[in-house]
Amino acid sequence: MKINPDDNPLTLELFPTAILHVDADAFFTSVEQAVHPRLKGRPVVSGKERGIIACASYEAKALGIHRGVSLWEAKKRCPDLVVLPSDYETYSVYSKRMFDILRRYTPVVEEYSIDEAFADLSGMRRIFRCSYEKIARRMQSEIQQELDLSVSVGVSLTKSLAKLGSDFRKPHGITAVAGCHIHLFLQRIQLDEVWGFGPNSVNLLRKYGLRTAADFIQQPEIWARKMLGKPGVDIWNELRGTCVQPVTNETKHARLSIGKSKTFTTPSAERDFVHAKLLRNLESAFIKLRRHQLQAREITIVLREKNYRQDALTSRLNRPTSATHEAVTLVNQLFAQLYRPDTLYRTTQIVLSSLSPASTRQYELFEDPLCIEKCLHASELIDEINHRFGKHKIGLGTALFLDQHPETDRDAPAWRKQHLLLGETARKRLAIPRLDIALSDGPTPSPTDG
Amino acid sequence: MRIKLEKALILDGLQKVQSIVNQRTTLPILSNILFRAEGDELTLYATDIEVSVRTRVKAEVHESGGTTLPARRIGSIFKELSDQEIELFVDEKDIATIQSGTAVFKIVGISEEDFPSMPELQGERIYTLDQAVFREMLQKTIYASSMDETRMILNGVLVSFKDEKITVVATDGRRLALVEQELEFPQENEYEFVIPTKTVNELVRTLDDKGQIKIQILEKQVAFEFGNMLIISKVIEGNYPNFRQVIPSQCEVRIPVERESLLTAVKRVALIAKEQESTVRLSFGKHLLEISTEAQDIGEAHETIPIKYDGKEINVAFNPDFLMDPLRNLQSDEVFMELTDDLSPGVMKSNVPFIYVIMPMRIT
Repeated sequence: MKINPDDNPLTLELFPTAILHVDADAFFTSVEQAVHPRLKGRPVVSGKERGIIACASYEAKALGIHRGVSLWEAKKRCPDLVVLPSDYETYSVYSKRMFDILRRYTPVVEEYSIDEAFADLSGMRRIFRCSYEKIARRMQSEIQQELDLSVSVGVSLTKSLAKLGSDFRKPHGITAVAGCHIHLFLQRIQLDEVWGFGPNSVNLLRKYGLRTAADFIQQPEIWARKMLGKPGVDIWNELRGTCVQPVTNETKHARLSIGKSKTFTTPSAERDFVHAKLLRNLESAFIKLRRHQLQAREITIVLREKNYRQDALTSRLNRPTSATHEAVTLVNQLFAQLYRPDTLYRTTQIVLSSLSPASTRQYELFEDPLCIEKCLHASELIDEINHRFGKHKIGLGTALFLDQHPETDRDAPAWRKQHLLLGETARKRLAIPRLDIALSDGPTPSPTDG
Repeated sequence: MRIKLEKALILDGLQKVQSIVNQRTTLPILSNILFRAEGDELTLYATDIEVSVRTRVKAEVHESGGTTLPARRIGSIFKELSDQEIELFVDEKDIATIQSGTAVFKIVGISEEDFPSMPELQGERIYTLDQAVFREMLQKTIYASSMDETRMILNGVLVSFKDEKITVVATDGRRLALVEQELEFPQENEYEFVIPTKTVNELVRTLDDKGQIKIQILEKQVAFEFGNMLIISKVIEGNYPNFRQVIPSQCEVRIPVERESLLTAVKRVALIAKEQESTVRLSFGKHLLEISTEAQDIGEAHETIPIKYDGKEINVAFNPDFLMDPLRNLQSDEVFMELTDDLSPGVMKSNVPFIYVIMPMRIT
C-alpha cells in the first residue's frame, strides 16, 4: 500500500516493534474435529454437560447456533447437531502444543488464555530472514499441519492492534498492520471491537460523535484522559502504536482468588445434595490452595438456580487458614442463609480470596496453636492419601449425599475418558492428543452414536 | 441569639468538638455543630450518634438562644478572621451573621430543634481518677485493639473496675496490652465496659495533664466529664473474651532488653519484611540478641544487640509491628521479655504495671 501524504499517518515507520496475536478459530470444537476427523464439515458444539453451548464450530455458527445458546434450542434449530461433552484435558494438550509452536519463533510468548497468545517478534526477522508477516504465515501453517487446527493471526506494533488484527479476517486469516497503515486500519474498526471498551465506554464515546477507533485516536490525549481516565489513555496509546502493555512471558503473578464451581447434570432441589456439592467444591478449592502453598481469609459461596438467577454471600474467617475443616462451619452458616427450599439449583461455587502465603502463620491468643497445627497436619495427610489412592477418596462425610442423584445422558464422560490407553486410569492419562481414526477396517465407535 | 466571642477561645472550643463531626453522614444535620448561648457561656455540642462531645466557652451573651451551623465551614471562617473580637447573631430563621472587623458573613443554619438531644446524666456508678493517669492507660493499650469489623467487641478498649483496681485492656486476638492501677470505689460499683476506638482517640486528644475525670455509667452509654468537656459514648455490647486466661502465669526465661535499641533494630530489620507476611525472628543467645528476617525475592537483614542473659537459647518469630507498638508507647529504659518457646505466647513487661502478650508466628 502506498502512503498518501494527505492521509496523515501516525508514523512513517513499518514495524518499530512487532507484536503477534494468535487466536484459535472455534478452539474447542476445532480440537474435537481434529481428534474426530469424521466430524469435519458437520455442525458441532461442546458443552453437553452444562446444557449450554460452550463453543460452536463454524458449521454450527452458520446455522445461527452460538456460544451461550441453550442446547435445547440449538437442537430444535438443527436436529443433526453433534453435541459433545467438554474435554478440557484434550483442549489443554492442544493448547500447550500450539504455544510450543509459537516458542519456536520467539522466547517471549504470553499465554493469554487457553486459545490465545501474544508473542513479541521484534528483531526476529534477522534470524528467520523473512518479514514479520512471513513468520506469522509460517506459524499458522505449522499449527495447521501439525495440529490440524485453524488459527487467525494479527501482527502489529502493540498488543491492542495485534488483537484487532487477528480478529479482522476470521477464520484462518492473517492481518499485518504496519505503523504507517494504522490510521487506515482503524477507520475500519468500530469502537465496540476495541479491546478494553465495554458497552458503557462505547456509548459514552458515541455521544461525542465518535464511530470508529480512528475517530478515537484523533482526539487529543488529554480528552481521552478526561473521558476514560488512565485505562482510556492506555488504550489510546496502544491504538496509536505506542506499546503500553509489553508481552510478558513470566508465569502468572500472585493469585488473587481460587474458585471451584460445578454444574449438576440436572438441576436439583435436594438440600443435602446441593450442600454436598458445595462442600465438594470447598474441598477441591482447598486442595488447590494447599498445592499453591497459600492460605485464605475470605470465602464466598455462590448458588445458581435453574433459571440462572444467582445469589452469593461472602464472609471472613478469624484468621487465614489452609485447613479445609476450619472453613466448613463458616460455609455451613453461609449455606443456611442462602439456600431456599423448593428451589431448583444448577450450580454451586466456592471462591477463596484474601490469599497469602502459607509459609508464615500468626497464632491467635484465644486459640491453642497445637490445635491449629493438628488441623493443618490432618489436611496435609488427607492430601497425601488422596494423592496415592485418588482424589476425594477421603473427604467430608457429606460426600455420601453426592451419589443420591439420578444420572442422565449429560453425565456421559468425554470420549477421551472412555478410550483409555493401556496403563491409563480414570485419574491419570498421557498428555498427548489421541486421535479417533481407524487404521484398520474395524471402525471405532463415533461419539455421535452415544 | 446575639453574642460576642473571643477568637482564641471559640477556636479552642471548636477544635475540641469538631473532630467527631462526620462530613459524610446520611443525616445532614449531623455535620453541624450545635451553638447554645446562655448565662455567660456558649455551649458547643457535636455528635455522630455513637459519640457526643460537649464543651463550653466564655462569651458575652446579649440575647440567649441556639442554632446549629455547618462545622467545617464555620471552623474555617473563624480561623481566618483577622480581628480578635467576633460578633455572632442568629435570627429566627437560623441565619447566622458573623461580624469581625470589616468582614461580614451570613451562614444558613438548621434549627436546633432538629438536633439529637443530649442524654441525661443519671448514672448510678461514678468513678473519679486523674486525667493524666487515665490518658496514659489508654495510650498504652489502644494500639492493640482490632480494626476487624467482624470482631466488633475487640474494636475498642475494655475498662474494668474490679478488685479495687482500674484495668484497661485492648486486644486484636493476636496481641494484648493491659495496664492496671489501684483505685478506690465502693465494691458494689464493680463494673466493666468496652469503649469504641473513636471515643478513645477523642479522649486521648482532649484529656489534660492536670485535673480529674469523672466516669459515669449510663444505660448502654458512658459519660466522661473533665474540665469543661463532656464526652458521652455508646459502649460496645457483647462478651469480651476472657483475657486473664491468655496471660501466661509462668515462663522459662526473663530477659531484660534496652527498649530504644530493640525498637530501632526491629524497625531497621523489618524494612526487608514483606508487607503481607511480615515477620522478624528473635534469637536470644549468650549475651546477644539477634534480630533477623528473610523475605523471598527481596533479601535478608540481621542485627544484634547486647543483652544481660546467659540462659538457654530461644528462637521465636513475631510480627514486627506487634513488637514495635508497645516499645513506642512505653517510656522506661528497659523492658523485660518473658519467653518459653516458639509456640507459646511471649510477654513484654516494663517497670510500670504494664503487660503485653504477643502470639508468635510460625515460619515454615
